[in-house]
Amino acid sequence: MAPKLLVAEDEEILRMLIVDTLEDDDYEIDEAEDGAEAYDYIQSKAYDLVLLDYMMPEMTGLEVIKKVREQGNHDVKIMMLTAKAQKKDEEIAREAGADYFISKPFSPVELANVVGDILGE
Amino acid sequence: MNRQWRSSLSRQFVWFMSGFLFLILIAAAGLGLYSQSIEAKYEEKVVDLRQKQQYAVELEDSLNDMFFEARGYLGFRVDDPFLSNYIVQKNMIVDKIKQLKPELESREEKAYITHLQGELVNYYNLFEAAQIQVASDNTEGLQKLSKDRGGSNLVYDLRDQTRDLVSEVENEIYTTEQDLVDRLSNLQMLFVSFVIFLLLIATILAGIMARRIGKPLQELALASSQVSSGENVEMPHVRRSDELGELARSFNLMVKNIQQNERALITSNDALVEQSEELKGSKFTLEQNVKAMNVQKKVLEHRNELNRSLASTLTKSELLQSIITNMIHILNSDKGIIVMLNQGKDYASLGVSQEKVHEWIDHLLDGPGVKAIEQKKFHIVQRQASIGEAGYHGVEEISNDIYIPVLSDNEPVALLCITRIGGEFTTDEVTELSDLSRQISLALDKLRLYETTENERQINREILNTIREGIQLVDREGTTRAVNDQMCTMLDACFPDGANEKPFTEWSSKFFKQVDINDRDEVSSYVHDVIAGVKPKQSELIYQTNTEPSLFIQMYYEHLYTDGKFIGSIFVHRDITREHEVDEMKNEFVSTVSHELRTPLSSVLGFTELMLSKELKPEKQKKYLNTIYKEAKRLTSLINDFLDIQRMEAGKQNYDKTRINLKEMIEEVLDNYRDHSKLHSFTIEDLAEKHEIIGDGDKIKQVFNNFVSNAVKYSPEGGTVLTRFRVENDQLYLDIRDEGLGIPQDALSKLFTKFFRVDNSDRRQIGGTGLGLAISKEIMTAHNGDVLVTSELGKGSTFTLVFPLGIEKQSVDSKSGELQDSGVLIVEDDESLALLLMEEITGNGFAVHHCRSGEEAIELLEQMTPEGIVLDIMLDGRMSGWDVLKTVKETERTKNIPIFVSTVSEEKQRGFELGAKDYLIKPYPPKNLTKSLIKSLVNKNNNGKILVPDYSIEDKEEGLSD
Repeated sequence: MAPKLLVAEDEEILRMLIVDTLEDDDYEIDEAEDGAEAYDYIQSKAYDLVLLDYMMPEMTGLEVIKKVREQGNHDVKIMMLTAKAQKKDEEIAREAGADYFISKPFSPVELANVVGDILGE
Repeated sequence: MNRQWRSSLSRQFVWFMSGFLFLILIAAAGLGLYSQSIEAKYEEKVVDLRQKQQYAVELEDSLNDMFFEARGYLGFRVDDPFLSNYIVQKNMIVDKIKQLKPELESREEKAYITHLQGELVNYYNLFEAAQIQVASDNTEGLQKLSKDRGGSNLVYDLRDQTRDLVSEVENEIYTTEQDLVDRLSNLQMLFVSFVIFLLLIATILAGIMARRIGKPLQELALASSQVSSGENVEMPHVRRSDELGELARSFNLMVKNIQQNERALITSNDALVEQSEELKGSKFTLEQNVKAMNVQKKVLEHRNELNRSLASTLTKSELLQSIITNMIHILNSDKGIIVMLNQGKDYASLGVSQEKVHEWIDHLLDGPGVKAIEQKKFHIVQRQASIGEAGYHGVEEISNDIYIPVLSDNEPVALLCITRIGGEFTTDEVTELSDLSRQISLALDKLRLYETTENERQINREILNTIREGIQLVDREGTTRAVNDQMCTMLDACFPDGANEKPFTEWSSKFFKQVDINDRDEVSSYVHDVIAGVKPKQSELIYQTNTEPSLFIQMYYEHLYTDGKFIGSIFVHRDITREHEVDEMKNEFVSTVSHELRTPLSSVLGFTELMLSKELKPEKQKKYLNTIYKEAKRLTSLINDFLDIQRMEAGKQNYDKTRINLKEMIEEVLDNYRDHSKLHSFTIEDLAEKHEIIGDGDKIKQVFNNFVSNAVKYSPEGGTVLTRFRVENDQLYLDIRDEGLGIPQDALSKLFTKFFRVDNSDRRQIGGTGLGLAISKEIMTAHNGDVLVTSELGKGSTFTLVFPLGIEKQSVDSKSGELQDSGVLIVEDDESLALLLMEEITGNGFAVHHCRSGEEAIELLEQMTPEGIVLDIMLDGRMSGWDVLKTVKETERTKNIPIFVSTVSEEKQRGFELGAKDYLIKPYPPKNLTKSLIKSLVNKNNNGKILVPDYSIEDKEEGLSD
C-alpha cells in the first residue's frame, strides 16, 4: 500500500512544485491550502508524513503541530518546510514537535530523497 | 566699770533709768509697809480699848446693880433676894476690877480705879454698918448712919467715878481714831512729797542727759558745719570716752584725712599741671608722627590691596589696573602704565591719557623702556617735566620715569613705568619696586596659567556638551565629578540646584528609578562593577528607560587611570531609540523579506532543478518556465522596491519630470487590473478639467499601481475600486477607494512608515514587504504632493493623492521670460533636482534662472547680475563649481553676489574659504535652501518671476537619455 502524504502549503506554485517533485514515487498525496485544512486532514487520516509550511492563513504550521501533538498524536511524522530559516526558528519548530525541518529555498531532488528515506524506514 | 560706764551714753541712760525705777519701787514699798503697820497698830489698840470699854461698862453696870440690890435690901429689909444678889454683884465687881486693872495704862485711870477701890471699901463698911442696924432694926440708927456717913453721896460718887472711867475709855478710843486719821493724812502728805521728789529727780536726770548729749551734739554739729565751710576747727569732746567722744574723734580723724588728701591732691594737681605742659609739647610731635603714619597707612593699604589682587584677581584687565594703581600709590608717584609684552599688548594706566598710552605703547621698542627690557633691570630717566605735568606742580620741575621689567623665567613679560614729578626715587624705593615686580611676575604667571586652564576647561566643557552622548564622570567612590548637558536632557540625571557632584547613592537612586524595572538589576550591577574598577560581564549594555516616551539607551564605560592607578570611570549613555526602532523594523523586514524572497526563489530554484533533473514533457517544461519567469519577475519587483526606498532615503532618487497626463496613466493601470481581477470592477469618475502635471511618469505609475494593487489585494471579497479626479485650491486630487477590509484607526498614523504592515503575523493572508506605501509617499513628496487616507474597518479605505497644479502654470509662464538683473541663478546639471529647487524657490516668491554647466553660468553672469547663485559643484563640462565660485568671487562686478553651494561633496571648509555664503550638503530638504536665501536676500525686491533658460522639456528628455 502506498504511503500517505499530506502537503500543506498556501502558495499554489510551491504546492505544485512539491507535488510534482514527489509524484514520480508511489505516494498517495493530499493537498491542503491552509493550516486549518491541514489540521482537518490530519484528524481524518493516518498520514505517514505531513509536509507543513510555516506561514499559512487560518493556522500557522507551528500551531498545527502543537495542536496535533497536544492531542496525543505523536505517531504522525511532520516535516516543517519554511522560509523562516533561522536556527531559532528550527529550534522552535522541533520543540513544538516537528520531526524534520527543511528551509526554503529547497532542492526538490533532495526533498524527494529525504522523503524517500523517511518512508523507506 | 567706771570706764565702761563712761564710755557708753546708752549704758549711762540705762543706769539712770534703772536707779530711778529702783527708787520708785523702794519708796512705794516703804509707803506700803508703813501704811500697813499704822493700820495694824490701830486695829490692835482699838481691840484693847473696846475690851477695856466693855470691862468698864460691865463694871459700871455691876456697880449700879449692886447699889440697886443694896438699896432694895435696906429699903425692904428683906434678906432674900436682895442680899444674895448684892453679894453676887459684889463678887462680880471684884472680878471686873481684876479684869480691868491690867488694861489700864494711864495714871488717871489707875488713879480712878484706886480711888474707886477706896470708895468701894468705904461703901462696904457702911453697908455692914447698915446691915447691923437693919439686923437690930434700928431705923434711927440707919438714918443716922446715912446722915453721918453720907451714904448716898458715896453712891453717887462711885457712880460718877465709873462713868468717868467709861467716858475716859471712850475718849481714849476717839483719840486713837483721831490719831489714825492723822497718821493717814501724814502718809498722804508723804506720798505727794515723794511724787514731787520723783519729778524733781526726773527733771534733774533730763537736765543731766541734755547736758551730756544734746549740748555736745550741738557743739559737734557746729564744729562740723565749720569744718565743712572750710574753717580749721578742733573738734570738742575728743577726750570723752563715750560714743560722742568716738564720733568726735572719728570726725576729727576724717577732717584730718580730708585735709591730708586735699594736700595730696594739691600736690598731684601741681604735678599734673606740669605734665600737661609736657604733653602739649609731645602732642605736636605725635601729630607729626600721625601724619606720617597716615601716609604710611595709605601705602600699606595699597600694598595690601596690591597683594590681594596679586593673589586673587583672575581677570587680566582688573589685575593690571590694580597693579598700576596701587604701585603708584605705594611709591607716592604721580602716574604710570603697565603693559604686557604679549601680542595683545594688554595694558593699564593711571594718570595718563588714552592717546598718550597708545603713543607710548607704539614706541615701546624705540623708547627709553627698551633699555629696561633688554637689560632686564630697572632704568631711570630724568627729564624736564612736560607742560602738562608741570602745570600743577609749578614751573621748572624735574620728572623721573622709572622703567621696571617684569621678568618671568628671566624673560621680560611686562614693562612697568612709573613717573614721579619733582622728586627722585630713593634706593629703598627702587629695591621695593624690584621686589614688587617679582611678585607681579608671579601673579601674571598665575593668571596666564589660570587663563589657559580656564580656556581648556571651557573647551572641554563645550566638547563634552557638543557630544550627543550623555557623559558622566565618576570618581573611585562613585561620586559624580562631571556630567554633560546631554546627560541632563536625555536622562534627567541632573539635580535642579545645578550641583551635580553628588555621591553615588544620591545620583544612582535617581538614575536607577528611570531605568525600566526589567533592566534595573542588570544596570545596577553593571554600574557597581564599573565604579569598583571591575570589568563587568558585558562591556556595554542596552537598557530601556521608563520615561515618557521610553528610550533605548546604550551604555558603555571607560576606566580612567593616572600613572597606572585607577582613579574613576566614565559612563557614556547613547540614545539609540531611533536605531533600536529601525533595528526592530529591520529585523521584521529581514524576516518578511526573507519570506517574501524565499518563496519566489524556492519556485525558481525548485522548478529549474526539476527541469534539469527530470525528463519532462514539453507542455510541462513550458509551464515550469512560465512559472519561473513570473516568479523571477516578482523577485525583481521586490528587489526594485527595496532599492527604491534605499535610494529615496538617501536622497539619490532621480526623477525624470516631464509633462504627464494622470488620467491616461490611471486608465492604463486600471486596464491592466481589469484583465487580471475578475472579482473587482474598476470605475473612473472625473471632476477635473486638467490632468496634466510635471512629474516622473514611471514613478507616478508605480504609485498608481501600488494603490490599485492594494485596493485589489485588501478587498479579497471583490467590489468596486473607484478612482476620482477633482480639483480644489489649485490642487489636483485623485481618490482611490476600495470596499475592502479597511484599516484600524491606530494603524493609520504608521501606515506610511517603511516596513510597516497592518498584519505582520505569520498567519497573515496578504503578503508584502510593507514598502509600497512608504515608496509611494516618498514619490508624492518628491512631487510636492501628498497622500491622505481615510478608512473604516470592514467597509474599505480611500487613499487620496494630491498633486500641486501651480507649478505647471509657472513653468509654462517662465518659458517666455528674458534675462533680468534679479532673481536667483541655479547652476545644477541634475534636471530633476534643478526643477525641485526651482519649485521651492519660486514658491517663496523669488525669480529663478537655471543653467546646467559652469561655462553657461559664467556666460549668463556676463549679461546679468542675479541676487544669489545656487551652485552645484559637480557639473557637466570642464568647469567645476569650485571654478565658478572662484571666478565669480574674483570678478569685481559679481564678487558681492552671495553664493549658496549645493552639493554632495562635503568640503564645507573649502566652500567657505572660497567665499560661499552657505554650504548645503545633498540631500537636504529644499526648504533649507529657501531659508538660507531668505536670510541673505530678505531686503531685496522680488518680482516673483521665474526664468527658465531656453531649452524645452523635449530637450530635457533628450538630455536625460544621454
